[in-house]
Amino acid sequence: MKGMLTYLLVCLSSALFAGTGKDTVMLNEVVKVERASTDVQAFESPFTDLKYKQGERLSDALGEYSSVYVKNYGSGGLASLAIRGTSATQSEIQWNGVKLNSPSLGQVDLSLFLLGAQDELQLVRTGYKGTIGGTLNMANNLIRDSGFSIGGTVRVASFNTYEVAADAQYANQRFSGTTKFGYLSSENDFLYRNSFQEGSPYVRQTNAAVHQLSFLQQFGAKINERNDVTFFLWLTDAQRQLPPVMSQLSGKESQDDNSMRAMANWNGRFKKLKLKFSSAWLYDWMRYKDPNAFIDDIAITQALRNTFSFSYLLPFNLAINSEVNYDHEIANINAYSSVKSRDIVGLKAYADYYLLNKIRFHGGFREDLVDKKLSAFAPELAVNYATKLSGGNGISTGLIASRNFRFPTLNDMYWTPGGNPNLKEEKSWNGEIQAKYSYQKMINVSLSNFYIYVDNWIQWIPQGAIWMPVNFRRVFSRGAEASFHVTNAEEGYPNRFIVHFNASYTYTKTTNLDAASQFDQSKGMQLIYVPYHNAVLGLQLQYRKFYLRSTNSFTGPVFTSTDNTQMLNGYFITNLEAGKDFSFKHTEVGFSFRVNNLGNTQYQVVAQRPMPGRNFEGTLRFKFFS
Amino acid sequence: MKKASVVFLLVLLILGSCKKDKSSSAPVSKGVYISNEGNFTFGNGEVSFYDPATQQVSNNLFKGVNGYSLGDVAQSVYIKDSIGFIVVNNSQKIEMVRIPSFQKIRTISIPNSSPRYVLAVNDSIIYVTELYKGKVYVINYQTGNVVKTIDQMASWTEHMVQVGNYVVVEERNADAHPSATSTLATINVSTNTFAQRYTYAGTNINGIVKDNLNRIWLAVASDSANIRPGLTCLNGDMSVAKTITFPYGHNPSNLCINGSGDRLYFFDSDIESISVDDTVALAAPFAANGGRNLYGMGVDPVTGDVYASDALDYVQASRIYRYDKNGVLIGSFIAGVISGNFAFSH
Repeated sequence: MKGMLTYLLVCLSSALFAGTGKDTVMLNEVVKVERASTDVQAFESPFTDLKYKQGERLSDALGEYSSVYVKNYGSGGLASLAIRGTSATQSEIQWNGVKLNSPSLGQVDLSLFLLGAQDELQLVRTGYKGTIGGTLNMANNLIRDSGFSIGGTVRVASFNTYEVAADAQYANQRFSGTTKFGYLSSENDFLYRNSFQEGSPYVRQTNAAVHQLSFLQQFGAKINERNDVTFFLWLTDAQRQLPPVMSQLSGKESQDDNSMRAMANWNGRFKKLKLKFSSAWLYDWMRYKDPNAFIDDIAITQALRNTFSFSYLLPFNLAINSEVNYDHEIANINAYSSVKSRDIVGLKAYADYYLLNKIRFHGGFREDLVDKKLSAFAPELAVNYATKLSGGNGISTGLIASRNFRFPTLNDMYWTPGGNPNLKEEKSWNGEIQAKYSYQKMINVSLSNFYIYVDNWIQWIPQGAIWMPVNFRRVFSRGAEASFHVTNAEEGYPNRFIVHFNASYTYTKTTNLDAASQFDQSKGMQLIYVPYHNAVLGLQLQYRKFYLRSTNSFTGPVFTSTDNTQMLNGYFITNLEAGKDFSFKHTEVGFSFRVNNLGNTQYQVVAQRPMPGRNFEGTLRFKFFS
Repeated sequence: MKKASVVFLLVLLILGSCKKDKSSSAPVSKGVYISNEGNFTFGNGEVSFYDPATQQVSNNLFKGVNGYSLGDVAQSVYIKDSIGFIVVNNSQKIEMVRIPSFQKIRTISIPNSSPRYVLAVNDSIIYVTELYKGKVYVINYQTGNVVKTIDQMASWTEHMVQVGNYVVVEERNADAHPSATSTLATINVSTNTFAQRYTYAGTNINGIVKDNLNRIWLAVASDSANIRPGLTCLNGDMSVAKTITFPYGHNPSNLCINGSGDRLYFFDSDIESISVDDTVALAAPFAANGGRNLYGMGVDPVTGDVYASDALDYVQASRIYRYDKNGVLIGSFIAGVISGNFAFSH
């Protein structure tokens, strides 16, 4: 144990004094990882839970705690999730299982979400259930305990940044409600080193102010022991100035995003039968302005998504579950010739068979009908073996193979000029091997090896003077992920000196398989903005209610040209946080102080979009409960 | 275990400190300067230099000589005597450099602008066209100051040629669904004032040049079924001297002319060339397309060699093809991303 502690301290001190750092952590409970089809979890971290991150942007927390790649156009700017070398449009962002991806763009801006509106984040990196990339689900939990609580977080940070999150929960035996509020405001006017000016002087970012609001109301009613219903209303508003790129003298671009999302769920439990019906209406309004280019465009999209699902436990340890969905999407966008809409009907059916309570066989398929076009048949097969060894050890291993697809977005089909209504859907074959070992809740190790082959990859390319999307090429992505967590924490010993350490690493090689012409140098090359290396390292030292934690993330260089002759440097970011929590009879209070980017690393995730150097924040949390 | 962790961290450190810069030395001979636009917002605009005598190419010339990145969208390069002007569109500036050392003289900043092309009208004044604001900037390049703006232009001003005391400005239709007419504007060089606007058939003018008889040639595109695309030749008084029409669906662009002013070159799927005395066009191409994504072209005013760029997928280094004046391929070389404009130093 002493050796282990030395090791941890070496890692911490290396990270602290390396200056321009590198590594990463995959901590979370912040990012809890759902059990994928193979029952092997990706990475889970013990450190923090969501309460420490309330009020922050989802994109920032993901980048800090996860070794997935978040493509971030500067602090507060557009941020999208790219899992295992796939594109942002190929992963699904969900809210309580409902797809949030924009019908027009196909992706979601993770900067628009303030943490705290949901209770849990579930990240599945595995392509499954028809999704080529991964799935990130933001889930609101049902309130099951009677009582009342009210809580809040206030954070003050550099660059005139203020974050407030508050929530109230109330429940009796039958009814429950939750009200959540979030606010973020920042001038975002940090200094950065500008390599586009002679001598690379430090300059201050301009036109970068951000104001964001989030409000969520949840009601739940337990009709009887077998039936309950929940209703949600979630509003978000973001007014963002878009700073000029580093080489621009000035800029006046801005973007406003308003979203209204409503959802109703019914859950029924009848012995071995479970039923669920969910209906959600998603409304997104976006206005982009650039006075210099005389652009003032409004884009409105709506989606009505309905899902009916059932699961049934048959004899002999055989379980079946199925889901039918009907979606109606509408887009009102200036660049289309008219308002466009489409209907999507989908069927998913899966079965699980458990042998000797150790081996699980999983199989099923998904099939969609999109505007009368039948999708590829998307089967899925998996087998998983899990057992507990003597002495509290556990081991599991699994295989999964699946066929998945993605239909083109409405922009791909209807944008004028260039939209291509004849596009085919992207299709993929996904394969993965996973293994996990645990020792008495003290050590967890997880490994996986993945392969993704995508055909009909949709890409906008020039066709004469006009750019248009075509099913341009095939892409092959493969790689490996590893995570490790060790702790001496044990239940019943909260006051001892506790150490948590975890690390995770992702290697991703994603190459284009086709050349467009004789001299096209992109064949066999890594796709742009896909780093080979992503890693996180985390260490937390805790004594009684006092904690000191260091989170470190490393993102390797990314290519910015398809012939791989131009690239952005990689970067290593270290954050250091110290805090203390207090518990009283009906009250919890906590405060913390944090230094972000301790080494003052000057870096860009996306070319010409600078990220903040060293900055500070102080946080106060409280919770009163009955 | 401890050793392994330290090695791991060292590996990460090394990876994190990878550098990409490829510097190039300044050219010492006469030759071809090529502006590589780079990708919008990527900040990878640059300039390449090609020496026809040795067939050597120097890429990343600006940063190699001056030590900092040129900027975003290197739209065009223009040479006036021993001064080079690099218009960096999305960086809202023009970098002035000495030719051939390529050392920076000064940066001409034009805030909130979107500059496109430069034309020097005398030894102190340049005109600069603008993408969005319907204006032409009048700049004293000896001081770097914007002297005035000529605001009566249409929404997008592009190429310019000087004929006597007037500069003829190509005005582009920025609308996605343009009308069936296109316009040219003239500027009085003596007073730096707008003179007159002229309207011609065609949805857009994709290039203007001046021939050896001081006539203006226009490459005319058309989306209209009633107007055929082609080349239009204007007299000195801006009246139409002759038109050479192409079949519907053609789209002549990147109009260039040789040094003696008697032969035109342009893209129309292939690389085409006609004499200024011709009345019909599109017999055999000057050089076949060959599956390339032709993007920019320049003609050496002394040798008559033609340089054409293949931008490939627009996200990798372009390949430049060099032909002699008879259309025989001399060779090819790799420049930067989206090579779009050529300037020649002799």
